[in-house]
Amino acid sequence: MRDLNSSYFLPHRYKWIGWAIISISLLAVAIKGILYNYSTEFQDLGVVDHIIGSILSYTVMIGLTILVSSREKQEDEMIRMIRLKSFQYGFYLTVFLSLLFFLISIVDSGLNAFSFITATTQIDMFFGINATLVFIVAIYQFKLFRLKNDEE
Amino acid sequence: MKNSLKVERAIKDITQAELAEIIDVSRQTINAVEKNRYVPSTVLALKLSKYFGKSVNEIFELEESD
Repeated sequence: MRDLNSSYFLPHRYKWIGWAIISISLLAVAIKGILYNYSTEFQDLGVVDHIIGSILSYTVMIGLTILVSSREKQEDEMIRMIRLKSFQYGFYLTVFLSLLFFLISIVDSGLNAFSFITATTQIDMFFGINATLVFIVAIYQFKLFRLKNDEE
Repeated sequence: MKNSLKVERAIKDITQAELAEIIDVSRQTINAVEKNRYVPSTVLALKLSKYFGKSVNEIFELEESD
């Protein structure tokens, strides 16, 4: 029977390309942060800092997507189920944490409109474009790790 | 659902890794099926049935809770 599930995943070697893109991007974020803290010239270029930050969040997104879309060394039906479940749990986790932080910010702001807006803006920043993907990848990698270490 | 995969494997005197290679899945998948942590697809069940020369019903059995 034709295996409909396997066709769209990237080959295994892409996994390392994904890790490389993520590592380089995070390194760039760190360097950017250091520059911003220690160089007043860089601080004057606030727009550049913002643009670089945006671009990096998208390269991280690409890296994470490649990572979670690459086949495992031994890709089989159970791996595919684990991958799907990771998407499901990642989605639920995002919704759960968003709501939780939202409720916390209501309580924390003491019903002060200004502190409430500040708090929710911070939540939006934290959850940015990559939160769900980060959760998915983290859950997926954790499940794979547990599977590999589940010896009898 | 329970299964007698471990017993069948013992009869054939074959390791999880060897069976995994024959069936073309990972060793972890065979392990998970034996521990009742993963319910295999019909395709995988049929592959196992073919290899052991027994019907799927002889290897896999429904439980009350199913």
